Amino acid sequence: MDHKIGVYIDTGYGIGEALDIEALSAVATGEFKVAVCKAEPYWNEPEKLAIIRNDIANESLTAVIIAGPSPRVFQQEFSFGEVITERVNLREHVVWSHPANDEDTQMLAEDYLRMGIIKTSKYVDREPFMEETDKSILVIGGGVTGMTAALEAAKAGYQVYLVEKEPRLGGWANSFHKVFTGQPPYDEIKDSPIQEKIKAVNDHDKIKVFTGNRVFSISGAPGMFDVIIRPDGPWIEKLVKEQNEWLAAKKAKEAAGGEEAETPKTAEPAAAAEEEPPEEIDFAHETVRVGAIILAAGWRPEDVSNRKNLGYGQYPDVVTSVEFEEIATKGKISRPSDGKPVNSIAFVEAIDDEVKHPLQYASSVGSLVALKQAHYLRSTNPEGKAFIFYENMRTPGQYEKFYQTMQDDPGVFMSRGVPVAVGNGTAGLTVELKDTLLGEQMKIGVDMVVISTGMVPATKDSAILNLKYRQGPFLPENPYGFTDSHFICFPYETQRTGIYVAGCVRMPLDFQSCELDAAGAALKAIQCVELVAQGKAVHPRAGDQSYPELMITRCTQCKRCTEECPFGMYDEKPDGTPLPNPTRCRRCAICMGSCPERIISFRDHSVDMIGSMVKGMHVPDEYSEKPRVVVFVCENDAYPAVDMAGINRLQYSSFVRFIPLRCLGNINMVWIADALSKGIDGIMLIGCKYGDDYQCHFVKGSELAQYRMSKISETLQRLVLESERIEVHQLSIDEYHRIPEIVDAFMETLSGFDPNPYKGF
Amino acid sequence: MAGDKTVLVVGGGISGITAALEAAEAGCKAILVEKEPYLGGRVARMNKYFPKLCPPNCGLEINFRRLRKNPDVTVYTLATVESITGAPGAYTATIKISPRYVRDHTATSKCVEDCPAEIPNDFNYGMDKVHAVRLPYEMAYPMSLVADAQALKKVEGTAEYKAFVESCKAKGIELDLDAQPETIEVKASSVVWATGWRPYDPTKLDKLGFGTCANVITNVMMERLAAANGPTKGEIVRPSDGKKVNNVAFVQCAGSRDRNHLPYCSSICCLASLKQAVYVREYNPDARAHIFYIDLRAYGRFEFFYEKVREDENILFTKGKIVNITEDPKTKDVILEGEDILSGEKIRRTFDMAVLATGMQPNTSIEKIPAAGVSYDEFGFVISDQGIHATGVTKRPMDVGTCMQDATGAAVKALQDTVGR
Amino acid sequence: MAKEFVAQPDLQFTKDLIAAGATDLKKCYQCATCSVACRISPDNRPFPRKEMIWGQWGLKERLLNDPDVWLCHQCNDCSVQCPRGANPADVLKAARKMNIQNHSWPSFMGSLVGESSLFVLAVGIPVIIVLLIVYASGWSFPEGPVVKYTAHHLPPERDGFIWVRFIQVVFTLALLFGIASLVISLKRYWNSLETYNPVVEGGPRRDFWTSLVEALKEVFTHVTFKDCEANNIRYSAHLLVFYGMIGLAVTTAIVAFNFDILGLKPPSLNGPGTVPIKVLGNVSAIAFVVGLGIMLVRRLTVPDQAGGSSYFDWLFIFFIFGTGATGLLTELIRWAGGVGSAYVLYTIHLMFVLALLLYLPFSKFAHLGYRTIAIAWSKAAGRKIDLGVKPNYTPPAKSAE
Repeated sequence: MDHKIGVYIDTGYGIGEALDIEALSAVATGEFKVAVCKAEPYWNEPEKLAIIRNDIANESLTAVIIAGPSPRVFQQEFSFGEVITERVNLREHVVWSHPANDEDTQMLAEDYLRMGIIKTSKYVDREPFMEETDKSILVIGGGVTGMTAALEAAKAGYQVYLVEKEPRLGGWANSFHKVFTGQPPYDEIKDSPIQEKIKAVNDHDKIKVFTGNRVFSISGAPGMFDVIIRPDGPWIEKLVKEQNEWLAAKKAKEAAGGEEAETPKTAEPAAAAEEEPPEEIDFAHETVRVGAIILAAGWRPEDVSNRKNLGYGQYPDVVTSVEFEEIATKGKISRPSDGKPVNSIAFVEAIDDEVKHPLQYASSVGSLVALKQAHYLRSTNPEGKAFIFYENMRTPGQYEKFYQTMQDDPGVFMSRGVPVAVGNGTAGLTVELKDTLLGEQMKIGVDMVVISTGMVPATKDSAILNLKYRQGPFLPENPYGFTDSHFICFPYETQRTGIYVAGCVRMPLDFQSCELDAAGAALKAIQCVELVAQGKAVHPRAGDQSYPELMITRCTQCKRCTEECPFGMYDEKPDGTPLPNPTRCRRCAICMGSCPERIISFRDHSVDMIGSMVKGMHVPDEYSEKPRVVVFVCENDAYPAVDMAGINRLQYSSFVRFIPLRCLGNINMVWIADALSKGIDGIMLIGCKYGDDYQCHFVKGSELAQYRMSKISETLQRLVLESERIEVHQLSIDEYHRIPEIVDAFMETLSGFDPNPYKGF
Repeated sequence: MAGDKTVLVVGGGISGITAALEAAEAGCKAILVEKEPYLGGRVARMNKYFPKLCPPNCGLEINFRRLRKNPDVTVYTLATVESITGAPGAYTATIKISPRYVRDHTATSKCVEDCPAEIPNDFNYGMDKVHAVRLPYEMAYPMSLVADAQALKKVEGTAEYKAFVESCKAKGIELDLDAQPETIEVKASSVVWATGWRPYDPTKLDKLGFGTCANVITNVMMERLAAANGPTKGEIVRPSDGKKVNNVAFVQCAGSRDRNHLPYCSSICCLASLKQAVYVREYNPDARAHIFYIDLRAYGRFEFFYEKVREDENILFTKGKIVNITEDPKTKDVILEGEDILSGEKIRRTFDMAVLATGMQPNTSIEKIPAAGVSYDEFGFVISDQGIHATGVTKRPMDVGTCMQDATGAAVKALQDTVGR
Repeated sequence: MAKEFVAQPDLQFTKDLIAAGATDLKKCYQCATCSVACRISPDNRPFPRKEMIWGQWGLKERLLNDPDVWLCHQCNDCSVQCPRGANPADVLKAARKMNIQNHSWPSFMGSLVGESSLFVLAVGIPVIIVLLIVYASGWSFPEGPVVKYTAHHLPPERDGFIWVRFIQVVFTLALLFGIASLVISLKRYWNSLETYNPVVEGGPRRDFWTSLVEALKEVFTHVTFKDCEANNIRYSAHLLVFYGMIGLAVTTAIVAFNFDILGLKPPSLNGPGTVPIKVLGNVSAIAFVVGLGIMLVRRLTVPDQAGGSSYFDWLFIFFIFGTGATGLLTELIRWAGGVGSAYVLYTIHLMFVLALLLYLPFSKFAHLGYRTIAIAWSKAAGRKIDLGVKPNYTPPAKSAE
């Protein structure tokens, strides 16, 4: 071991009383011959820290191990610049959750110290990934969101490229007659303020606008995206068609079973081979290099013709709320069918019992739009009657006042009411409704029917980004059909690093929410370009300077890493070996676990490191009746949960050793083999909840771990061991009270088996 | 990047934490000021987030980890901003920091269980008591004890207290009941105001029986009741007799959308009640939850959640506001009165417990920002956005996800102030 | 399934209703606080929530044939608790006014009393009639001490004030007209309730007369007023006015009977007098004026509790308060010995009395008739049902959604 290590055992917190510190120190000094080993209470105190600093200086230590409280505390205190600092959790994981002065507790502490020292000795020196990066930002979409994002980023001093497919900026806001701004006094509708924004964008010298253009392709990675911008044209239909065929094929494969999906495939228009000479581009285009991308491609109106009951498409006087905006801009409202002036309109929601989630795209703005549009009729026709039917009047926040004001107009008639059918009446259309406030069933005759239309994210139909990524041109979708990956806690994250979605492409939003959303996306893009310029990871491991290194010579082109990386970090070389793009990496190390050849490693986290820790612990012989269990835990939720168990002094078996991983997806089959052949009796994996509402910070780490374990059986058969010796659990951070029950239940299971026969080999 | 780009963030709830961290990770320095002894604000006291029903502590933990790692964020707890002067690009703020009255090495409540004095547990909305020296909750950041000096002074002379002080010493914990607050001055080029909200005072809803009926609680109390680290360790039981609830009513718009109370819609109460109905059903499969509403407002993708909850036969919905809540003196059951609007019949029904979906009132409607040139709307939400950037529920009622988006947006505005325009 | 309903919203009706005093009608967002806040509203199809949406939607037919608007006693609890400030109480009041106008016969009288534009005419008619009488009697306001009930001198004596015969004829006719058209209007109302009422489908019918008797019991005891919270003083106030009115009516009736039929001279002359009939008259008059005073003061000082006041209310108050006040003043001045002025005042008093009689069925005065009928009808139709408390309510099996 090439590190000069100092071990500092904290005897505070009752550690000194509960453990035999002599014996513990002996492990460091005896077994590992560390340069320095000292035991004192409360190393976090300034004068104690001074001691450590002295040792670092005098003994020229390269690594420091603090064996005391959880690494979740005193991080700032215990950081010594370049010197590697490792923490061994003797407090929460040992003395607070196990009996004092007990043989097994002592063994537990010693094992943790061993593992800590081994881990430290396995650190390798490696410079952070630094390359020439670009700090400019690409914004796709010239609507409210796109323009706001562009302005916010530019105001912060960053160069912005804004691409809009239409010949002019403004997006939908251009075709809106009036808008509700959500600004105080909240009670009026105004002309769309979009024109000022357009002017501001055009006037800003840090924003370069490409109207009438689309993104043809994006290759590269954060800090070094190469974007080909191409004038809009028929090419896009062709591309979209190809992409969707490819996606359909991929989905079909996955449906046919994960196995096939795993096996490499080639028929991918988007799968690019970076090292090939760049393909000939024989069309008009511009290429820009950017550091980060904001996708604000917006929305398209939902197709409501599948709402069979509403007669859309059947009757010309049944229109969508979007079409109605255009009708209203013409002034006095007249019937599409015969041009006769309109005296009564029914505004209905696109509800159809046949359709699942009928309002998923409309519910956030539908009511507000209906209120606004009712006003269009009234302001142009004093005798006009506007009927608004809603299932629930949705006017959140201060919009309640907007609702209140619109109510005051005697010509606006509102009622709860679910549309049953629209038909031809004597003098126009007849709308049939149920569950109204005027009776279970009612009919009403009107000149026109306006259906509140949903806002479908543009990404539903096409990739837009047209990524030249091994995993395809698309942003992966979440279960709600949008492309953000961590809705609620990391609202801007997607499964493509450095690409942030904002506005209605992420969810149906009103004008002001789009602006709100755009500002945030601008910041995330700025963060990204700043962090990658320093060779640091972005959220959620912001600042992490480690990155995966591949010993490519040993690669067998199995492609698991390229398939399993949730963030599409790996492209592919012509020879089938993976081509890493380190700035795309979130440092979750899922690839490290996926690699059967164990060739992927980080400077402070590697297959060898964890494997050695497992092998380094002491396994008593089979007659000692001291079974050993290794528990791999996710450091994000499960590990803190184990801390909580300690903080609440919950007691559980002293035979288990917790090993934290960046994500349970790190789990590498070889560790299981290592552990079992070392004589470990049982292995547990505790990770985050997965499924539609996954809690995994890296989207599918815990799910992958589960998947890999389901494939472990042959290993066990080879070793002639019971498959019950391995358990996988999902645990959320607030379920720490379940830890004793989980652990002890597992010990109970194991007690049913003989000790692992490989002990002492 | 330059170190003089400092952002002062006031309010250590989810909005404030987010704003501070996002700004810091974009190259600013951030000063985060929180009046409670811990960060996390209201979300720290929530059991789960809708619609994913995931624990807020999961998100808080990752943010705390970012804080621990990041030397560019300075956190002051038990601190309030007394005044702010200056202009965008150059603000000076005075911050008053109250003492914790105790010094320790990240000790926990378990370390001080022999504390002789108890106080009502504000963290659990007063539903139980805690020791006068305690860690606010087990995941608290910063992880250090806080003491209630007044409560301790009452017992100062006693032998128990002396013994307690001794046992503390042994654990490296020192009490100092005479510690004095200090006032510091900080300079910042931008200010983000995120002091958030408080639940509307339910005692003002005189017809809804809070305080007069034992089994009428509020939605924020329900969060604590359902939480594993709550007063009942997650047992959803009646305050009156600790009986498992079988039949819970959720009373929507308790104060919101009401000119006599909060004229605006608090946006999240409907979804909160949907979520809490699920708590009840998961805790007790025989239980029934009944939601009384005017309009069920599940906006955006929350529509999915609403539909999922509606599939449960034992979660009932009735359109009609609850007007009166009284108590059956014998059984302590609550009697709710309203009209089922769709059937057009008055309702008088008894339930084990009623949960008032009280709304969110911006703290700025009561404590204004101590700076010139800030303007508010008629409800007390901040509307101005020059140099002092309001974010989260200080701006309008929002769900947690939107707060985080908005706070991230506030960070970019702050960043702009630091570069100058 | 309820019978299908074809909505024909009448925008004009909504506007009229708003003009009639339902100023905040549109503010209602149908939360049903009002229906529950109201302690006298029945449990099935309670008011006023449904009346609010009917009003908003201009559903004329429903609102004009809705007995519930009369079950409301204007206690204003609903308006006080309304989270939107839609003042349901005022809406029902406006609906009542439109009910009276709509069913009144002859209908032009309805608008004469209802339209503020016709105020001068409405007031002018009684004034002119009385002035004509005075003129026809020779325009004499006797001087000197008032020695006797001059106005009631038996003809043909002409030393006095005016010819009693005129009074007898004109006022009797007026009274008869009033009563007749009230009866006809009420009959029309009853029929439309029977045919078009929107609140009761079928239901076991009860006999009209017993229902009427019960209704009258309610009216005379004022029990429903007792339930009021926001405006509870109205209970006593209205009780005073109500019995004051009856007292005065009885007095007048007896006196008229004695005098005009039996030809007996009025018992005492000046001064309060101790004769039962005079005591009754005076006590009633005082009760009447005091009660009115209370209402008036509250209307002016705490409108948010007392409810808004429309032209319709003010006109009615003007007439009855005028009647009471002038009557009382005349008497007082007579005691004081002010002669000429007593006659002048008395003349005005006569004008008020005439107006009261003429407009009986068209002014708010008619509410005593309409309300009694509506209550009677509701009782006959078994309108009011008490559903009671449902302990641990179990829902019917959910229909698949």
